[in-house]
Amino acid sequence: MQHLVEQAIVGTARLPTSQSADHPAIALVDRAAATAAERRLLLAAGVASIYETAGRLATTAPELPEPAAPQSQVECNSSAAALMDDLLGRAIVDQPLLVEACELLLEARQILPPALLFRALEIPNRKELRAAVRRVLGERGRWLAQFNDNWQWARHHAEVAETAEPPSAEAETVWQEGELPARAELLGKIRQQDAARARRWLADVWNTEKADARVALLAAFTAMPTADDIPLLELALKDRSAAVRSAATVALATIKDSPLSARMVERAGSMLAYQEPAKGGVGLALKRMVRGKASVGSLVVALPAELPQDWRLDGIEAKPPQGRGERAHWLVQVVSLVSPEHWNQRTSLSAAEVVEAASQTEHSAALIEAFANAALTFHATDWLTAVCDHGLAHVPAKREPGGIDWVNLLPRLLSAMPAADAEQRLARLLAGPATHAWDLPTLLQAIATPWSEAFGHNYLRWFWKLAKNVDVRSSEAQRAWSTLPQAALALPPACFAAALSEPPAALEESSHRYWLNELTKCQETLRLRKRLREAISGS
Amino acid sequence: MELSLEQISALAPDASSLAAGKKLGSPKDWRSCGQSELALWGECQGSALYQVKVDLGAFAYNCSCPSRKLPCKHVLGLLLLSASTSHVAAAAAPEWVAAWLAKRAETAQKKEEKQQAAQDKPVDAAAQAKRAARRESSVHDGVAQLDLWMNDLVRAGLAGLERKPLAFWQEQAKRLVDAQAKGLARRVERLSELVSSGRDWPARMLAELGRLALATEAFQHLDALDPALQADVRQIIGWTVDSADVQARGDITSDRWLALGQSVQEEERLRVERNWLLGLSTGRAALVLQFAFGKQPFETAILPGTVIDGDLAFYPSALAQRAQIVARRACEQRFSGQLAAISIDELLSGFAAALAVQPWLESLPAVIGPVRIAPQSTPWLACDNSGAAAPLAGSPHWTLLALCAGKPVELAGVWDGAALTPLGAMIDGNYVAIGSKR
Repeated sequence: MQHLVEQAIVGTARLPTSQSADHPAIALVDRAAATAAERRLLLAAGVASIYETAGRLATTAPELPEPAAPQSQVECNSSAAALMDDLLGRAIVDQPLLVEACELLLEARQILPPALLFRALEIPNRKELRAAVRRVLGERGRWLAQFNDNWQWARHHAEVAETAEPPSAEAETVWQEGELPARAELLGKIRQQDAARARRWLADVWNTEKADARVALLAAFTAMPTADDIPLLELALKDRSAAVRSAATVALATIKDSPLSARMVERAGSMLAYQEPAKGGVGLALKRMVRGKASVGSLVVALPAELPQDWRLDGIEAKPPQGRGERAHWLVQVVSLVSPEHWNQRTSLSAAEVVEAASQTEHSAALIEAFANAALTFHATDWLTAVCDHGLAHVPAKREPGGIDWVNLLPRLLSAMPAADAEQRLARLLAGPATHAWDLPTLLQAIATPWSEAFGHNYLRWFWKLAKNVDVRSSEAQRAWSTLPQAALALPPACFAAALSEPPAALEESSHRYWLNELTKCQETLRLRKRLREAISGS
Repeated sequence: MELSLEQISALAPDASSLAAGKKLGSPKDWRSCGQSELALWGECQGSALYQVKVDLGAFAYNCSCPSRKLPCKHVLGLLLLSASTSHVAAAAAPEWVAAWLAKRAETAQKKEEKQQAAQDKPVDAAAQAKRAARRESSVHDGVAQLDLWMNDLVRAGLAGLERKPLAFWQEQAKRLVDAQAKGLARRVERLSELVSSGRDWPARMLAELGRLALATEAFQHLDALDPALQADVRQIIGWTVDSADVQARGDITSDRWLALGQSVQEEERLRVERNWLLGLSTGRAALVLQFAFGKQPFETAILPGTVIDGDLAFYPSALAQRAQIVARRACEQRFSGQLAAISIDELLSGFAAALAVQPWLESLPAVIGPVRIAPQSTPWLACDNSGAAAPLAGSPHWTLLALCAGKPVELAGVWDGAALTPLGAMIDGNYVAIGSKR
């Protein structure tokens, strides 16, 4: 056939066909008495191709992979599988639903059926999504993942032994050759098992990594640093990258009795002093008792004229952000790095009292912001709630120049405090008169999901009351409706029945159709969540 | 018959219909639902109250909504509701369902009578012969012109084809359509796709041209061929066989037919659905083609993985594969049991034997096994116990691999002489269709 192909490519006009009869096809064509060279070539090619097809031999089988291990968990039933198939095909905006569904499967000790594994392994590269799906792939899914380089996330989730044994060869491979997110995750897990080894690994590669990699890998140590991490962190404090230095500074400040934390306490003490309350007479004391106010002194702020060099070496940046004075900026940075407990001890006041005292100073915005930062860094719950309560009670209509950015700060505080505390504050907000003043979707986003049953019902009471009574064209109503997408994902199962009530009749009017559509979408999501539970766990 | 959720999804005309159907798959949207041995029904409250009914025997459906999509979202929703909940209980069919079933039976009866009447109708033999002769003459002229055109290609050399515009192929195809040789026209259009389609395109082009030349040569010596092979040659040229003739004169086989798999291709505005069936008792393979324009539904719903108890009438051929369903008695949701399978060497020798009978054969369905899938070669391979392997056509078969888990399975597919396109496999004693390609 190859000879015929060569002739056909060149063309018979340029190259006469040979009269060779060593191919059976040519002999057959000769018997057909075709005379034109082109016709002979075509017929011969037709016969030869059929001969070749008929004479095809089997390929030799290569070495085959080991079959998958048996599944150790039960695959979900067909109803659940259909719902999972639907969720796997949805847009990324529905990711929380897929994560929730995977968690339900995990709780029920079920896994995805083989027919869905391809779609599951092809999900978008989102950390939370992949972490959730990975846990319900089962042995079959992890087995399948070995055949596609894009699916290594499903296998390389840093399965480091729980014992103190050396990391497996696979972990070494991930560390040497894996992508940064996998390496950072691995280092974090090794840090938990064998911190010294994790420090050695990082030290070995420190000088060869780029700045963003150094930041990411250092995160394994900055989350919960110990005194043993001090040498590594002090090395990072001298790094050429500001982001690395900043991360190291914060980590060192959180290590009790570290040299840096001691320096920061001293510096903070030089800028912020507490003055005991004036000893008034009995009358003053009685007044205070009647009013129920404790004896609270005052905070005195004394800022340095220039930024000392040793402060710079410890990561204190000289240049402030726009809208803030540079000395106030130094105050914020230093106080942010001191545990808030220090101020409880220095003043013998509660967190709320210190915050109130700070609000009376001329640097109130800087101080309260610093206390908020410290509360977040040192996970000081009472300070988180104290600053949050202050914000919720005192937020002005507009942000003042140099004022605190409560819009961004409040959600951070709510996210960091225990869920019950955060829900309590939002429940008070919802019950209050001026919910329209707040960016409710952002605040609701900040609290943990699913909501508690109590908060869920609080939310629904507020929502249905607004839906029935408020002009749907008002900004208050708009804020209410804008919380629906979150509520759809955050309401707990115990609140589903209350949430699936019939909408108010007034929404049927054509001018309110948009709101009805939003509510319908919310209720469809809730029904889907309900069906997921029924299908997976039978509840 | 109960359908699986995958089978219902496969019925949907498009993704948006399926999504809309899923939204209607919960009890809150339905009332008066019920099912019997013959039908499934329900009333769905949309912008109006729509009555939805499904004939479970022939698998047909109807909805009173104005949607032009078939099946509409209400039909899909009802099927999903029935498959995934226990909301649809057994009940006596209400009047509006019974009346519809009766009308369907009456329509089927009238159609059969009409077909019979058409067969019995006296034919104007002279006019018919005149038309046939005119067509023969036209086709002969078209074939002769095609031969000259192919000769010109080879004389000038295939290398020059890379510079030819699409119109070069389309014009020749159009001439063949005008000559009433539509089959040849389609083959000429397919040739245009071969140019520059890979390093070995000249060899593949020459092979196709060669087979086309053999077909035209066979046409010119038609009387020398067996009648069955004549039918194949005429089909290649473009003659069609009337479906009534197939039923009346074609060979009919009764069996339980497993729908191995399905593909749907768009050819201009025409959708062509290929269904591969396997007779579970006779072992006979069949290809059932359905055609539909635009978004119109196909006449019969054939769901991969189901078993149709019915009669197939085969079109005349030296190697009869193409068939039509002439009677459908029952349908089972799935096949459980064992499928007779052949080795890879038997597959290849069987195809060679089939080519000896029908040289223009393009593909043949088969069940091979037990085989294991080799995913680390390019292309993937199906490997049997003897160490022989067959290439798998198409994209990586991840779902197949996930289902097989690396273990030996009986694999159904379509062999085209070079590679096997998987249709489904026996997994844990059940036939699982891999999924229709649309």
